[in-house]
Amino acid sequence: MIGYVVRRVFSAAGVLIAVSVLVFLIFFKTPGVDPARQIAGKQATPQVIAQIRTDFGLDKPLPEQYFAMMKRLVVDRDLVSYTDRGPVLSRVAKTIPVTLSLVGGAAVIWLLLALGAGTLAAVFRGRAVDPLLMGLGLVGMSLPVYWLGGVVNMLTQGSWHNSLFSWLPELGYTPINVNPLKWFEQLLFPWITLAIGTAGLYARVLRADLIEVDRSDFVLTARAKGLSESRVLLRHVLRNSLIPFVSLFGLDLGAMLGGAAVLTEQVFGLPGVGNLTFHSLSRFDLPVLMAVTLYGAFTVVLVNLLVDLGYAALDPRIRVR
Amino acid sequence: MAALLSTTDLVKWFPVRRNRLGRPGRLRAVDGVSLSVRGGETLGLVGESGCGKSTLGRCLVRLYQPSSGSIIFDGAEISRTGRRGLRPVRRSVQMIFQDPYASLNPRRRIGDSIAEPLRVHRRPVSRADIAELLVLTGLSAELADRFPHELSGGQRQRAVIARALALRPRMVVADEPVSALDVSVQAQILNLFDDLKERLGLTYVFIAHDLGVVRHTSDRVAVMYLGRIVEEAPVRQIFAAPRHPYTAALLASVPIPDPAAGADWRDTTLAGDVPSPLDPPGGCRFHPRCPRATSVCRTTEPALTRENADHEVACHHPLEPAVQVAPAGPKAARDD
Amino acid sequence: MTTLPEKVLSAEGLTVEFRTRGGLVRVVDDVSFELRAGETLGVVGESGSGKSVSMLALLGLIRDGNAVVSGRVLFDGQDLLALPAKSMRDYRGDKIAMIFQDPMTSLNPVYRVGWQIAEQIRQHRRIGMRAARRRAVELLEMVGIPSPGARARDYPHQFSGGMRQRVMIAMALSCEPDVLIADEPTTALDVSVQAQILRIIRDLSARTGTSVILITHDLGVLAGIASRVQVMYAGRIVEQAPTAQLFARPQHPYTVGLLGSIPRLDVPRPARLPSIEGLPPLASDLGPGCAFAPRCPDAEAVCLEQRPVLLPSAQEHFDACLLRHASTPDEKRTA
Repeated sequence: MIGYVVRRVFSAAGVLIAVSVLVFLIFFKTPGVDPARQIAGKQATPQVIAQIRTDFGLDKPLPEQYFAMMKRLVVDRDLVSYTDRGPVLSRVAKTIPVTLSLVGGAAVIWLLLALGAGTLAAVFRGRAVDPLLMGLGLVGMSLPVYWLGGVVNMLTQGSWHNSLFSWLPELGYTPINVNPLKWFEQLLFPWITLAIGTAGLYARVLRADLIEVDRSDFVLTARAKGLSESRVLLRHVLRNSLIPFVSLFGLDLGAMLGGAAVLTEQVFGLPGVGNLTFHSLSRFDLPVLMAVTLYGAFTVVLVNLLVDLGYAALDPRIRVR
Repeated sequence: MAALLSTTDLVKWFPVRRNRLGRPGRLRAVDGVSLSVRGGETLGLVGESGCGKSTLGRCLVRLYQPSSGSIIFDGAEISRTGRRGLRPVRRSVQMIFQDPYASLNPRRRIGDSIAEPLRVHRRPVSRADIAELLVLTGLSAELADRFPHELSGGQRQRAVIARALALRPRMVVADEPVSALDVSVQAQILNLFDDLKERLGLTYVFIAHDLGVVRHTSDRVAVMYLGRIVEEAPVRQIFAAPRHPYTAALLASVPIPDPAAGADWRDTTLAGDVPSPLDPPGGCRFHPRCPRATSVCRTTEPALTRENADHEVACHHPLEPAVQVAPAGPKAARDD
Repeated sequence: MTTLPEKVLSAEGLTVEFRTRGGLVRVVDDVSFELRAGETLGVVGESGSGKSVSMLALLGLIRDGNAVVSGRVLFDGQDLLALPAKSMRDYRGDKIAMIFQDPMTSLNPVYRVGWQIAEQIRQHRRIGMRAARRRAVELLEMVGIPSPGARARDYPHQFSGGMRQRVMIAMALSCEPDVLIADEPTTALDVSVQAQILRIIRDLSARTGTSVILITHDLGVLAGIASRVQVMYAGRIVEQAPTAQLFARPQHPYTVGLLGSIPRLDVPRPARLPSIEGLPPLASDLGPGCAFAPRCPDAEAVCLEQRPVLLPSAQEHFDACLLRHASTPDEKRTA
């Protein structure tokens, strides 16, 4: 068991190194990128730019720059941004709780929705409830986030705000330790938006798996034992359908914690990891970009490891002895 | 009669990852098999799950490359031959598998499936040829245009046989060809095998776990246990007077459809389960389940020795030739 | 005349049809049989014979919304087919238990076997988890699983096929049912293990007095364990008889053909294996007459038109063949 985790940690480190090298190379191969000019600002003279180039070590060969940056990021921990020469690590650190709050809350909602809808649709398959729920899920999946955002905008700032929806808070993020109620209010709509988009897919997947597992021999055995339908469903069918469900969840969770919910963050003005990634990308701010990308890769790898351990908990056949 | 196919010390192992932190192990599915098949005869290969008979069958047709040992077909060594060298061999040796539902491509019409070997080997194909093959296996020619799902299990198996015969092979290895079929259809297919053998001069290696089927079709029978042959003899001898305790116990376990036949099977059951081929017992592999095991059985693996003309046994204490294990009954006394 | 043991279960006119686009397809057709206390009834048939579907219908385990089940199944003074679902669930696993063919897939892979057995016990008995687990260990020992206490904590994948089937048997017998239905319990197992399992079923049922319905396609299996046999073809019963009589003097041409086509170890090898021509029919393709007539070597014109019924030819021996019971002496075939 320990050996397994150790091996996973090593391979995770390998993944992170590979990602960092790739980001580095892609950045410098992108046309139009000139960090020195960016740092210098709009009014800079060629001399200033040249000076900055030397100061920041941007005239050194790429491998040397790479190692220098990695050292500053990981060891010295004083990497600075190209945009404003501010510290990168603390900036990234500030965005993490925002994304965590967003994704965590949304995940709870979408999981509950999906479990409920998927199970109901499977149990009552063929009857009215089934296509209704699946249809709603499909609609949810298809609604573009920015459209939803536009609607939310109307509700919070536009004409509707003043009449019916004046109780809605303005966009933004309030940390939970500052004002828990406000934290909750401001995240409620982002949660719902993110959840609606994802729940539909999960409900469909769960429904399909439940129907498939229901046909298994061991479920027939469970019924032959005289167990009640609800017990058969929950203890036997659902338990076995969770495995693909968990796998899907792991993929999404890992990616979203790393900033994949960038649209939602943008629309609702939440300064999370995705938001920061977007901005650093548009400004070609490599240090920040490197930091958020590595963080994103890290969350994916970590969640994957947790999912694999979760498999072993769910399915005894996979356990490493 | 010269041997058409013979193997010497054939071994096929597969790498297996043991669960303990990835120490690789070896699954020795076929662990030193030497046998020979004469032209025109049927060799029955019998054993329970995990004995390696299917793997052996696939090695014989070179679907697998053996890990070591030799295979000589029609005078030529084929155990190490590459793909190109094997092409002519593939025309001469064909294989039939167990599951007729899985052996035919569901998206191809029957006629196309049957024609495929001919096309692959660049032989001319005509509708008449396909029709001839279908009729040869007892199907009507118009089935060439149907899809597999439109045929019954028995019909599909006949189509599979027709496909195997398309290149007019000399030898057919059949791996449990009737196990997935209903009993009444099984008899038809077994008769078909007999007919084809006569008409086309085929040689068969017939792999099965059903002893009754093997007895009906085979001229000689080899019994496998955990990757090795434990007994080999002409069919009459092996069923009337088996020398290896495993063979005897296996025969005794088969239920006889005759209530008057006596209670043999019900009282002489083999104890325990077939051990896993991943971890075969030391010494004679059968010793943990053998009522005759002694200390030498636990330490030394017996070699396959010729007891008398044509009858080979791998056992330190083979049963006496006089022992009869067929259940008592008026018909058993008559010579087969 | 010996007094027969009491009837435990009796099916009268059990019929199962499925609604399809082409109309109603009858998969089990007017099946009637009796099961007496302590006996083992063998049910033999090939694919499409309806042998499994009839038993699933009996237990209310057919969940297809397009299925129409009719007839009566009398057990414990009730008609099982008329019971509400909850009452049927109470019988299932408690008074009537069923085990299935493939032990590799019949147990839930994510729960320990002791737990799965205890689950059944607790469903039907008011006992605590600990007591149920103890009982589960006793049951595992009863079916011959070594180290039952430790093994009860193992998962199904840690058992071999034969061992898993033993677990299934232990589980099925956990509430001491009156009837055990075993659907092809040995088909997926090696021959040596098959014999062990049959022995367990035979010994345990004798010990507990459980009546057994043993479904199989292998006639050999029945010869050693069943007291009576019924042969099914295309959803209908074509012959019913005490085992010894069925084997010694089979009446129905299908039974004769079936017995003849099995390659046996105890008779000299025939040059050619007698076989039944043709294929088992699809339920949707059946004509008005005898279902076996298209394949029957003895069939006459009347066979295709008139449906035969089960008639006695000897004590307790019934068969559904028009020609066996024809009234004209020269039409009557001898046994």
